[in-house]
Order: sequence, then structure tokens, then C-alpha cells
Amino acid sequence: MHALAFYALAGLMVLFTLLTIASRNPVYSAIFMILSFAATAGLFVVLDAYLIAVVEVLVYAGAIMVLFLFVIMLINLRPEEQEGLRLNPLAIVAAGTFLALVSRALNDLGPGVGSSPNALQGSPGVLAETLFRRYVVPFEAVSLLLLAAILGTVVLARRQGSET
Amino acid sequence: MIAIGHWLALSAMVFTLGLCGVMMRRNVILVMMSIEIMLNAANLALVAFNKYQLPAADGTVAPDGQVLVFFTIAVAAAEVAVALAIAMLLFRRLDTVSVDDVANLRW
Amino acid sequence: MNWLILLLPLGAAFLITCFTQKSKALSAAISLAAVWGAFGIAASHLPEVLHGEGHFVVADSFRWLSAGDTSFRYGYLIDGLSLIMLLVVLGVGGLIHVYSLGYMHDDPGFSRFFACLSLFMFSMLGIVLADNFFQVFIHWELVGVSSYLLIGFYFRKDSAAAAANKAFLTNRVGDFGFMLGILMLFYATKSWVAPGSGAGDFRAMAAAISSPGWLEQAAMSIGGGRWVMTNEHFLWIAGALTFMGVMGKSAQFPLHVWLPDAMEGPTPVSALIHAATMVAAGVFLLARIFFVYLPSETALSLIAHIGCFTAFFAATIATTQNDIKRILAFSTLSQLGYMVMAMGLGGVDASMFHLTTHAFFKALLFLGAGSVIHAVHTNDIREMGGLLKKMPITGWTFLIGTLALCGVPPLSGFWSKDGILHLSQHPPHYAHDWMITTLPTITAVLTSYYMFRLVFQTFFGRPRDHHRYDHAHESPASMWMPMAVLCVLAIIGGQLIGSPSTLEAFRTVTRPAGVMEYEPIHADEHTILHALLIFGLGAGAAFAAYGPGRWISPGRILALPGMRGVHALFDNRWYVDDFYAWIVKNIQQNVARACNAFDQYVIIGFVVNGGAWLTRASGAVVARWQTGSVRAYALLFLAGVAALLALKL
Repeated sequence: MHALAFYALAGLMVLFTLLTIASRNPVYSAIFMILSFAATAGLFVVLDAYLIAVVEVLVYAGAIMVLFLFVIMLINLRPEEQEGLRLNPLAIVAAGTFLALVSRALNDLGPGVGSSPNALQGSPGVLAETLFRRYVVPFEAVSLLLLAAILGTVVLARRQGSET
Repeated sequence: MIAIGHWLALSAMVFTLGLCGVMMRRNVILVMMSIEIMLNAANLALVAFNKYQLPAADGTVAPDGQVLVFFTIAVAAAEVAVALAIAMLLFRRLDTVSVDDVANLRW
Repeated sequence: MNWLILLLPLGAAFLITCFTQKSKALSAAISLAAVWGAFGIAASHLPEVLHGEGHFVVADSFRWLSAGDTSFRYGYLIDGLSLIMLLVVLGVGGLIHVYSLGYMHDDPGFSRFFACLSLFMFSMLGIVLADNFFQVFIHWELVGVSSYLLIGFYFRKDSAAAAANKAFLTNRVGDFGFMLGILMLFYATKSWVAPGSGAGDFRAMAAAISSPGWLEQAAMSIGGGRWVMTNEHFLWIAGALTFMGVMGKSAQFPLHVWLPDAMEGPTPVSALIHAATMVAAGVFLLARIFFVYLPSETALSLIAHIGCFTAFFAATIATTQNDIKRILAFSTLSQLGYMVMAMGLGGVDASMFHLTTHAFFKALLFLGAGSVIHAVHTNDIREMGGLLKKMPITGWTFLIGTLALCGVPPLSGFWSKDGILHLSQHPPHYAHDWMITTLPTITAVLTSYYMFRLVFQTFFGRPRDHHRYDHAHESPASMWMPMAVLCVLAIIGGQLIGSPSTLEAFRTVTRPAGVMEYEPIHADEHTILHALLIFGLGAGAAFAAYGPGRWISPGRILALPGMRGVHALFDNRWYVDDFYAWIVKNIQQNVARACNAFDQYVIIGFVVNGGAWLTRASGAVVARWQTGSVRAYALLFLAGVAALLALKL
């Protein structure tokens, strides 16, 4: 059961990602990306990380992609004249090498990793317990980070006085 | 049973796809999206590791991986906001969203 | 307290240079005080030394540098040998300081002169007091520097500057050998010296070299024992190299070329440095480190033959010279040859005896020459004549000095020089060596000849240049008083020092066992006749040629077949200087040019400039990677990460 879900969702994720980077129309890319995130959320559920799955959909698919769409429309992006994905042989070789190396690296896993899943608890309660007990300082730091991001964005995107 | 290797292979593949997107697209927005894809793939790997870690002596499994994913998502959101603001500025100033047109720091 | 012997002159030099350059009186006072103060301190040890039978020693040292388990010490070693040398250097030096008050009175560089003199005193005393090889070497070089400063005192004169350079460079050649010798000795005795003694300590090394089994030990071996050099062979090579330092400093052939030219310096300098003290430093060193030479016949033979030849060689040249100081310079060379030869023949005491008496009468002669020059303003004896009437004190003291130099009894020279002559006529090992048995005696005859030639032309006869003659006058008291003192010493010095017990008292503690005992010459008729015969031959010839009668004219001698060639040979100093000039011009300069070319093209051109060019070129290449294109950067980024991963795996 798990296996079937995994392969299906995995395939979907890869497919949608591929379509994202290959589309000529930026809006199409955005939509495909949302779908890719949805597949990812499904994979998270398979991994028993329920809260993360929901957060993925809410934040990534819901907020971030919407922001992308807003910006695309604001700057009035048209589909590009040339082919969207220009196949750069050097890049493909580099990416291929990278993939090979990473796979090789991930083969040598340390002693703390098992090959069969454990009984992970992914409910909000368990997560919250850890988050607000052990990781409360990073939590506060991240909130400061978000504040900085907001301020930065506001300052950057303001229309300057002299510009039209 | 799905071994962890499968998950990691998936994560690596999606990461590489994102990488290709960064290197091969001319549009700034698309490059940003590709970066998001890469971050997402990393999140997947984190949760996979969390799921496949060995339990502690008393059987509990710490959800630290998921907490880290939490933080990653937050940071990604912040980063996207600022990056898109910069992209907008770029568009306003140079009237283009092509990465190739922003090559002023030549030798 | 004994440290003051070194510190007083050094302090004087420092004070004069920094503070009292403007004041002549103050500079002179400081310098004189330093010298005479040091003399007093040294003389305070005299009573003990005279009763010490050669075993008196007082020493002190401190550790100066250490490297690993080798430590270089600086200190003083006052034994009989040091003391006699100290008294000579400080005593004669002090008298010359007094003389300089008068001689340099009108010179604008008066203070500078005294500063340099004090510096020289410090350097020389360091050699005398040193207790180890490295300290000696340091002061050896210091003396070279002081000599350079003093020879080149009239630095605006090209010939003086050139002479100073020549002195320094020639000494440098000798010092090169000296250093090598020291290092060899240090290496060979390193494991045999008492632990805790400083590097190159004389007493420690003397003990090491004379310890049983040292000579047979292998110094170096090649091929794991297939070819072995024992310490014995090592020692004679080291000895020969060390002797190179002596050759340089004491102007033995072939490193003698600087001494005649050094007469460019003021006459007190010639008297002090180039007659009495600095050139004697080589002989002193030989006495100090005789333990190096005694075991090795080859080294001793080398020393004896070089000394003997130098004596003869210099005497022949002196017969043709016309500059009063040059004649005296060659005479010094000749006498130094005697001293060195005596060392080589094993007569350490005889050699030191002659060193002492020679200091007295040679300094006297130089001071007299200075007095003459001061009066007539020329060095050329052909422009002098009949000065005895006008400068009686100078004339008579000069005459007495000359008699002493020629070995006329009962003056001091008779005892010391004839001691050496006696040694050369009955040498322990060289009975069949014609050079050692005949040349010194011939040299003595020549000595009498040229010295009386000098005396007759300068002080007797009719004045050749009336203008100069009329202006001549006796020198002031500051100049003739030291001459008088030296004259007295030249007369009585022989009996004063020449007894075996006194000479024994003045031995060094590093003296090895087995040095032959000093045999004083007996003043019997045989010896006196012998001395008078030599004197008579030489002086008689001079009298015949240059005396009042002028019975034999030098021109007629020159007309004889072959004599012109001989005269030219002597007059041009056996062409040694020309030979050296040729070597420098044709060989050394070309080697220097080759080295310069190597430096210019390979080192500067290729390595330095090439390195810069390479950097700039590769920088230009790499700079092209800055395309400004973000995608290219991203690609490079990825390539870098992939490379790192590949490395890690």
C-alpha cells in the first residue's frame, strides 16, 4: 500500500517538476509547480508527517505560489519568444555529474539511519512539544527573520519619488 | 518495503531538476521557482530521514526533522518575498526580466 | 676590573665620536686617559707575572650566545703572553698617542683621529685578551676595520682610499682561510673538549689536541671507512688555513701587498699599527695557538719557509726604495718574516722576544721618520740630507734605532735578532735546508745596507734641497719625548727582557709540552764578531755608496750587466702587485661579469620578473571568467560543488 502510494506520488512529483521547468508560459509553470507541491504533500502524508503536509500546502502552494502569480501578472510576463528551456550541454553534464555524485554520497549513510520506517508521530501535538520546548530560540529567531523580510520587501518595492 | 534509498533518490532527482531549471532558464521568475523546487526536494529528504531514523533506547522517535522542515519552509517564504521584490525593482529599472541582461559586473 | 682594559678605549672611542668632535683638547684627553689607564691596570699584574714562571693566569668570561649545546663566550685571558703583549700595545700605543698630539695638531680631523685610535686600541686589545677562537676572529676583523679607517684617514686623497681598500681586501682573503681553519679545528675537537667550555676556547682545545689518542682519531671518513683522514692530517690543513689569517695580518708573502701602500696613513698610524702592534698580532696569535702547529711538521715547515722568504724578499725591495716610510715598511715586513720564521722553527720565545724589541725600535724609527717628514714636508730621501745638525734629537734617536735594528751589540736588537739568526743557522730539523740556513743571514746584511743608506741620505751629507733644509726644525716636545722613551727602551730592552727566566714568565698557559727551551745567545766574542761582521758589511756598502766620500757611485753599479734587471725587479716589488692587478682585471672581473649576468638574466629576469609576468598573465586569463552573467556563475558554482563532492568521495 505504501509502496503504491509512494511510486504514484513520486512519479507525479517528478512529472510536474519537469513540466514546471520546461514550460514556455510562466503561468503554466506556476500551476504545474502548485501541482508538484500537492504531490509532495501527499508524499509527506505517506511519511506520517501530517502537520508538515498541511503546512506545505498552506504556505508553499497557497502563499508562495500565489505571490509568484501576482508578480508574474504585475510585470506582465508574456510567454517567451524562444524555447523556454534551452538545453545547455555543459549544464546537463554538470547536473548529471552532480546527480551521480550525490547518489553515491547518499549511499554511504551513517549509523543512525535504518532501512525500515519507524513509528513516527507527525501530529501537531508532538511537533509542537518539540518545537516550543527544545527549539524555542530558533523559533523566535525565525520570527525575527520574517520581520526583517517583511520590512525589506516593503522598502524595496516602494515606488521611488522620481520614478513613474 | 520502501527503503530510505528510494526516498533519497527521488529527492536527488527533483533537486537536480531544479538545478537544471536554474541553469537553463532565462527568466528571473522561473529561476526563483526552480530554487523553490530545490528547497522542496531538500525538505522531502529531511522528512524521509526523520521517518527512517533509528528509535531511541526507550522507543521514542524525535520529530526533529519535521521541526527543521518547518523552519526551512519559513525561511523559504521570507527569501521568496525579498527575491521577488528585487525582481520587480529589476523590471522597473531595466524593463526586462532576462537574467542575461544584468551583466554589468564584467571584468 | 680587568674588563676596563677593554672598556676604557671602547668608551673613549664612543665618547669622542658622539660628543667631543668639536673639542680637540677634550678628545685627546679622553683618548690618552683611556690608554694610560688601561696600561696601569695591565701593569698592575706585572709583579705576579714575573714570579709566575709562565703559570700565571687570570681569566673571566660570560656566555654571549648559545645555539643548541654550543655556547660562544666572550672574555679575557691574561697570562704571561697576554701581559707582555698588553704592555707593548698599551705602552707603545700610549707613547704614540702623546706623539700624535704634536704631529696631528694642525689637522682638521684631529678628534676623528683619536676616536679611530681608541677604536683600534679596543680592537687590538680584544685580540690580545681573547680566550677563544671566535672572539679572536671578531676582533681580528675589528682591527681590520680600524686599520681601514686609519689608513684611509686622508680620505680625500685617492691613493689613501685605494690603499685602505687594498689593506682590507687583502686581509679579507687571509681571513677567509682563517675562518675555515677555525671551523675545522672546532669541528675536530668538538667531542674532545671539556663539556661546558665555550666554543673554540683556547685552553680547552689545547688540552683536547694534546690528549692521547686525539691525533689518531679519524676526523673524516668517506665510504664507511674506505678512505679516512686522521686528525693529524686534518690538523696540518687547519693549521695552514689558520696561518692564512696570520699571513694576511702580519703581511707575509703573498699577502704582503697591502703594507707598503698602507704608508698613506698618517705616520703615527704607521708607527702604531703597521710596525708595533697590528702586524704583530699575527705573530702573537701563532704563539697563542702554537698547540695547533707543534704536532704537525708540515705546517711548521710551511710557516718557517714563508717567513724566511718574506724576510729576504722584503729586504731586497727595500734597497731600491726612496720613500722614507716605504723603506721602513719593507723593513717591517722583513722583520716580521724573521718572527714568523722563528715560530716555524720552534722558537716561540725567541720570536716573541724579537716582537717586543722590534716594537720598540721600529716605532722609534717611524716616529723619527714622522718627525723628519713634519719638518721638511716630503717623504723622498733624495730631497733630504744633512738633517742631523738641524734636528739633533730626531737624528740621534733615529741612529740608535737603526743600530738596534741592525743588531749591533749591546742594543736590544742584537739579543733578539741574533737569537733568531742563531736559530736559523742551527735549526733543529732543517740543517740541510739552504733557504733556512743562508737567507736570514743575507737578509741581515741587506738590512744594514738599506737602513744606513736611509740614514746617510737623510741625516748626513750635503742637503740636496736647500729650501727644505732651511725650513727644517726640531719637533716639539710632545713629539720627541716619546721618541726618547722608546730610544731608552731600544737600548736596554734586550737585557731587560732577554733572560730565560723573564721569557719563561711571559709564556702562555696554552703552550704545549715539547716546545724547545729558549737558549739565550751568549755575548761571547764569537757572537759579537758575527754581529759586527754583518753590520759592517751592510753599513760599509752603504757608506761607500752614499756616505761622504761616495767612493762607489750607484750609477756604476747599475751599469754592470744584469744589474738593471735586478734593480727593476726589486724596484717593482718583484712584480707581485702587478700580477695581482692582472688577475683582478682579467680573471676576477670576468668571473664577476658572469655572475652579474647570471643575476640579471636568470635571477632577476627569469625568476623575479618572470614570476611577476606569470602572475599578471594568469590573472588576465582568469579575469575573463568574470562575465557578469549570473547563469554562468551558477554553472561554475555547480561545477565547484561537484568537484568538492568528487574529492570527498
